[in-house]
Amino acid sequence: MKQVRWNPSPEPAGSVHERLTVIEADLSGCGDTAATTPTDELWLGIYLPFLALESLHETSLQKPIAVFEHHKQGQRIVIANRTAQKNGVRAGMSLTAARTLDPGLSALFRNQSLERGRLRQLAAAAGRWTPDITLLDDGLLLNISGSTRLFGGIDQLVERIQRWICAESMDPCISLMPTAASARLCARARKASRVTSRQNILPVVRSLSASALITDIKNQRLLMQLGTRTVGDLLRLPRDGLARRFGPDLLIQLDRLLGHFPDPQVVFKPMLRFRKVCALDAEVIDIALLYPAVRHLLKTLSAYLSAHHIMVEKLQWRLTGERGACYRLPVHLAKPHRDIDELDRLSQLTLESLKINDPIVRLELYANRFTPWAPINKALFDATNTGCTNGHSLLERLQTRLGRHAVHGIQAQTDHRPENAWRRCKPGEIGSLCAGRNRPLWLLPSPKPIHMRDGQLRVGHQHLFIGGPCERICSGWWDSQPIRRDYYQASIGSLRAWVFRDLDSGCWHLHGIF
Amino acid sequence: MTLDACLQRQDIWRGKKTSYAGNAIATGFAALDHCLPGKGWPRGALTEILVENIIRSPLWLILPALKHVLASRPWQVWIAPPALPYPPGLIYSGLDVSKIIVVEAENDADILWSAEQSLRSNACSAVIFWSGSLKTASMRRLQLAAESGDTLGVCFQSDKALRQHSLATLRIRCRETLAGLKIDFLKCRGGPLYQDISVTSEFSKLNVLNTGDEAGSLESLP
Repeated sequence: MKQVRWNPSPEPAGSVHERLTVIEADLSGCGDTAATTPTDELWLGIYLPFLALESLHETSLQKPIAVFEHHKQGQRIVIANRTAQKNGVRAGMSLTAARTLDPGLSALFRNQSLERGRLRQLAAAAGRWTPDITLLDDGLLLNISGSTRLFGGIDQLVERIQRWICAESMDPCISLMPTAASARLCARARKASRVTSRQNILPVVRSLSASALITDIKNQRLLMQLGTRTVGDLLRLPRDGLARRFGPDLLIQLDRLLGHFPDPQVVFKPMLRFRKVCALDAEVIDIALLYPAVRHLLKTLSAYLSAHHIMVEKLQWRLTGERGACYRLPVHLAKPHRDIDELDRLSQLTLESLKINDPIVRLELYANRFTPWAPINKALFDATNTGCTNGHSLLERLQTRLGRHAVHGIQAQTDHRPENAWRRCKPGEIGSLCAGRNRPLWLLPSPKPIHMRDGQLRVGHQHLFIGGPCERICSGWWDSQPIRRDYYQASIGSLRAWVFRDLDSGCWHLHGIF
Repeated sequence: MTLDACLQRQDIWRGKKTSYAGNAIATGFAALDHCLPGKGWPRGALTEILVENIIRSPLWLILPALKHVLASRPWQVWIAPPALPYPPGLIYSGLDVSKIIVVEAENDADILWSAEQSLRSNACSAVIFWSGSLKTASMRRLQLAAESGDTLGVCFQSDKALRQHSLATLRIRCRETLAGLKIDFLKCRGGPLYQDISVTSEFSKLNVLNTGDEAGSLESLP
C-alpha cells in the first residue's frame, strides 16, 4: 500500500474547536436566551433527485425516460424516472444495458447548463425564505437560522418550504441540520432529519454511508478493505492514522460535519434583470408620441434601480410593429446611471434616429447590466466635478445621436510609417506620447499625387517649393504595407506642407499640412 | 442698475474703448493680440474664421489658445475636421490629445447639433467646427450656446460666406499671400476693424532651400 506522508500541523483541529467553543460561550453569555444559541446555525439541505429530468421538462411517468451522459468512451445513465426504474434501469449502468432491459426507453442527453439554470430559478424563488442560499450540484442549501422568528418558528418555516419544494419538484428530500455539511449529507442520503442542536448531529450522521464523504474510487476501495461502512466507523478510527491513509481533507470534512471546523459557503446572488412592457392603446407612427410611454417605463426602471441599490449600464428599447416588425435600439451609457432625466434624454435621442414603416403597437424596456450604486462624492467648492459629470453626459449624447464610431479620441502610436503613427481610440484614453519633430498638424486621409508640369511641381496653380532636410522613412516590410519614401517640407504659397517622393515610383505626393 | 454694472455688459458699444477686457484668451501672436479688443480670442463667444480653402484652415492660428485653455475642462471638441488631426504633430506642439474628442459628422444638421450641445455643455474648453455653410439663425443659436457655456467657439468657414450677415462676436478673414498670412477683421464687437494684420509662425514659415525659378526642379534634389 502506498503510504501518504503527511505531517500533522503543530496545531491540530482540536484546538480550533476549543477556540470556537470559547467564542460560543462568550456570545451565549451576552445574547438572549432563545431556544437555540445565536451561534447555532440551521441549515436546510434540499436534495432534488430528478433534477436532470426536470430541467429537460420530462416529468411525465407515462413512458420510461432516462438521462445519460458520456463516460469513458461509453454512455452512462445519470437518472431514470420511476417507470424506467420499475423495468430495472438504474443510475450508473451503461446506456446499452439499459436499452436491453427496457427497449421502450427514451434516452435524453444530459444538459448541465439547463440543470444549473433550473437550480438558479429555484434558488431565486427560495429567496423569500432566506437570503443565504448556496447552490449545490443537485440541490440547494438554505441557511434559515435568521428567518425562523419571522415565519413563526422552525417547524412552520420548514413546513412551508417543504410544501413549496414538493410542488416544484419530484420527490425531493429536505433535512434540517445545524451544519451545512451534515445537512447536505443527510439530504443526499434521503434522511429527512430535524436536528437543531449540535450535540445531536452525531447520532444522526453515524449511520450514514461513509462512501458519501469519499469521492475518490481508490480511497473508496481502501475504505471497503478497512471494513468501514458508515460515518460512525470513520469517526471511531484514530485521527492521525485516518489522515495518513486518506489525506488531511477527510479530517476537515468530518470536523465540518460535526461543526468543529468553520465551513463557509458561497452565497448565491440572483441575476438582476428588468423587463417591462407597455402595450400602446393605438398604433403609433410618430415616434414623438411614444415619449410619454418611454417616460413611464423609465420611472418604473428608476424605482427598480433604487429598490435594488444599483445603477444601469445599458438599456435596450424593443419596439414591436403592427405587422410584426421588431426594432431593437440599445442605449449605451458612458458610465452607469440612475438619473431618470438623463436616461429620458438619451432614450429620446436614440428613438429620434429610428425610421419606422410599421406602426408601433408595443414598447418594451429591457435592462440586464447593472452595477452597485456608488454615490458620487462631490466637493463643496470645486467646480471641476460638475464639469466631469457634464463631460460624461455630453459624450453620451454625442455618441447616442451620431453613433459610437463617429465620436472618438485620437492618440499617437509608435510606428515609423506616418499612416500608422496614430489611431482612433476611446475618448479620454491616453496613448503613447511620442511626439514627432517636423510632423504636420493635419494628415490627408490618403496621399494626394502632385503633378509635374514643365519640370516644376505644382499644386493647382501654385508652385511648390521644396525645403528643409530630407527624412527617409523605409519601414513596414514585415506586414505587407511597406513604404520607401523621402519626406520633405515644402511651401505652397504661404502654406507649409509635408510632401514625399516615393522611392519606387519616383512620384511626388502631398501628405500633410502644417 | 448702476452705471458700472451697465458698462460691464458686453453688448454695449462704447466707441473705441474695449468692452470685454479680461474675458479673453491670448492668441499667442502679438500683432493679433494688439488688435483684438480683449487682447485675445473672446471667450464665451463665437469666432468665425473665413478661409479660401477649408482644407487649408490655419489650425496653428488658434493652437496657442487651444493649448492654453485645454486643462480647464474635461474635453475639447473638434467637429467635422477637413483632414485627420495628426497626433504626433499635435503632441509636438504641446497639445494633450487625450482631451480631444473628434466628431465625424456628415451633414450640416449633425455638425450644428453637436456644436450646440458641446458649446452649451460647460464641459468643453473649446469647440472648433468646420462647416460648409452656416445660416444666420443657426449662427445666433450657436452664439447664445457659447455664451451660456462660457466656451471658446471657433468656426472655420469657406470665404464664400463673405457676403452673408453674421452674428458672431468676431469675424475674421484669412488671406494667404506670399509674405505670409494676412488677417482682415470683418466684424469685431467692441473694437475697430483692422485690416492686413500679418501673422507668422513656425508653422507658416519655411526656410526654403532653393527659391526662384529653379526651385522645383528635380535635378537639384538628391
